[in-house]
Amino acid sequence: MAVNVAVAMPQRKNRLREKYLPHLGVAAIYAILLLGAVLIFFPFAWTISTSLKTEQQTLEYPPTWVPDPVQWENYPNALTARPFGRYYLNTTIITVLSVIGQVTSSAVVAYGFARFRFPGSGVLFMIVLSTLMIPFHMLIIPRFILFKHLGWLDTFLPLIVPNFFGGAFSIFLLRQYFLTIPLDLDEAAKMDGASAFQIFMRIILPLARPALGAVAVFEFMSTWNDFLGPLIYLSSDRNYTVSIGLAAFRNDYFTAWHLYMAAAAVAMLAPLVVFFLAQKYFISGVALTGSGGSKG
Amino acid sequence: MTRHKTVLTAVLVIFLLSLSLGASAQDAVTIKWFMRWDQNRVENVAMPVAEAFTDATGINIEFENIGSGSDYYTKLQTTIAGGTPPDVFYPATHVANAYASKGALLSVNEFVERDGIDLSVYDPTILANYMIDGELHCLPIDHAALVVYYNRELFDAAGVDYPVDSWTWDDFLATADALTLDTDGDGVTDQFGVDTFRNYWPMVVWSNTDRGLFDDIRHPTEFYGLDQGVIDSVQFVADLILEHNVMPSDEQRADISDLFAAGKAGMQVVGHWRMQRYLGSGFDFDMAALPLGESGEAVNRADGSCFAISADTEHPEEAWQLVKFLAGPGSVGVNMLLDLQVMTPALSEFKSDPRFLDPELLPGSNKEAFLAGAGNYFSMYDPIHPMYSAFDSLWKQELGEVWIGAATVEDAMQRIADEVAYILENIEDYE
Repeated sequence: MAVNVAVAMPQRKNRLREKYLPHLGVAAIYAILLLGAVLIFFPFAWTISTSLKTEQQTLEYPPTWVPDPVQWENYPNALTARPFGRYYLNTTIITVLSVIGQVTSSAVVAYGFARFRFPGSGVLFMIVLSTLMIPFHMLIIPRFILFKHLGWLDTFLPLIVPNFFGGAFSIFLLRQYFLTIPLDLDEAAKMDGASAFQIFMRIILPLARPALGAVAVFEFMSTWNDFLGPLIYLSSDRNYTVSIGLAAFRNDYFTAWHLYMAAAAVAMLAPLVVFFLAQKYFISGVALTGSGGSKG
Repeated sequence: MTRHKTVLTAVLVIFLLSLSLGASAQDAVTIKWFMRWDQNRVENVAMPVAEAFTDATGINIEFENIGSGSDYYTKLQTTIAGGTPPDVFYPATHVANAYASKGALLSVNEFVERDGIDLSVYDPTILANYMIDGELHCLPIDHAALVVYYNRELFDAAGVDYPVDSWTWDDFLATADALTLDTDGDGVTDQFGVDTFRNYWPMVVWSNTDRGLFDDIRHPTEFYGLDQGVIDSVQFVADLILEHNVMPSDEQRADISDLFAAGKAGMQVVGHWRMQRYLGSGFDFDMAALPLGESGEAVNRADGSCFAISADTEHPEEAWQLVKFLAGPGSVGVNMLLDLQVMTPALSEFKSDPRFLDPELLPGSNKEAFLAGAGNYFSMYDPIHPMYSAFDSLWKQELGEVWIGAATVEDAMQRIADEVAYILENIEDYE
């Protein structure tokens, strides 16, 4: 009996370990993720909480989490304080066209770099990449002067058109992804009589959907949240974007936090929806950019 | 025949009408007016002023407003560098000077002379802020005069006397001390004597030494940072935080934008621009003049903002009309601003206006406090020279260590003085 027990115990222990150990690992991972989620959720919760407070409550010290009374009217008040409907529409037009421009033009250029060998292609690619190193602030005035001469100031064009000439980061990301698509596929298509353009359209693009999605999501986020571009190029109220409209609640001496946060919460909706719909691409984009270098 | 005549007359009338319409369309000038006001001033002053101006002159205004100063200047600088500046804009003192020294502002001397504007209607120290080598570069609208706001209810609760005229920094400290309370006895301060005003430390220097930080505000050659009066003044401010604990540290403020408005500080040293906020806070408050220092002289700030015309404007005459409308004697703009209780006017006529001194919104209040220190005005941006931005980041960094107790005032001022000496030796690099 004693022997039996002695033998059975370690077996049972092992079985327990086998049964629960992997779960413990998973639990630990979930605990860490949950902590991360709480940390990330914190500012979001703060936005919502502040958006439902009275102006006086936003000044309270120490700050309180739960608004009392709940000021639902902050939302209509904030959204009617400025023509946010118009701003939303403007931002949507600029963002959608920018995303289309960025994705199509960068894909074409990236295809060139990934599949065609020509003299100086390496140098050219380096030049494209080196544009990433130029700080945006250095370009503000030269670009402003350029757009002034084109007569584009106070139109959406300076915010949209440059996207139709590709972006270094998107080109890099897409080129690295295209390189992972086996050349055999191109060759097979070529044997069937496909032209370079047909290969691009029928083989490369459908297979590169995750990378294209990632580029689209990155472009969406940066254009939707862009403040400096609209600030500098747009000057009439009818052309303003959401980010400029939000700034109306803020000045050097005073910020109407309750209205600012209410409008910000609404402005957050579109990126949130896009993020949830395109989560897959966004995360694969992060993975791509992380590992892209080694694939080249 | 008659029919023909009628048609002919009609054609002629239409032709003449279209001619006159075309002519008036050509005549109507539109000028760009670029501001950095809050929504309250945009809606209650800028919009009605623009409308009144167009009615009075027939000149159209294209108005644009960016509330945050840093964003405003980013855009202004880009448009100036890009050659499409707004016709009329609103720089603060040091920015106006930086632009004027680069030739970006139109001198208004000729207009002032032509229209016979008597400049003595402006406070001379305030006006001098915008004068470079005898050229006036803009018309000032206000100055950022500081006062001590105090919460009467908290004073009454703590049994502290209200501040009186000619109180001193010692009185101020004693008052702040009496207002600093740990109401629940947990060892953590719940109510501070005064909300932080450490960045206004030069004001304490003026009151103690009756001079600014440099020997010459336009052409600085010597920095007074190592004078005992300056060191003692900075020490006084640091002690309010570290020694007496009557002024909160960054940690204690917890990023609350205004402890006074939150009813958690008995006093606040700030300018007119916070008035609207305190009016909305629902408690009973009043203003006192800044305390007197060693010099015994009341002091205050001279710097503020002005309306300037771009040197590249295509419509200098029309732009001047707007500037005059906004900030000239009898200004329509200032008239509208007075009722809002948002600024201390630069024009003397408005300083004595009952709407400024005895406003309906604040019956019986001591608005005179904003006028204390006349004759002893100093610029918070000292020196008014392009090297100011280097000096500004220098003292913010070094005194930042002092405010948290990581450096002594002597050491910090020595480091600032060493750096400033180097800057002054190479001052032409900054011009």
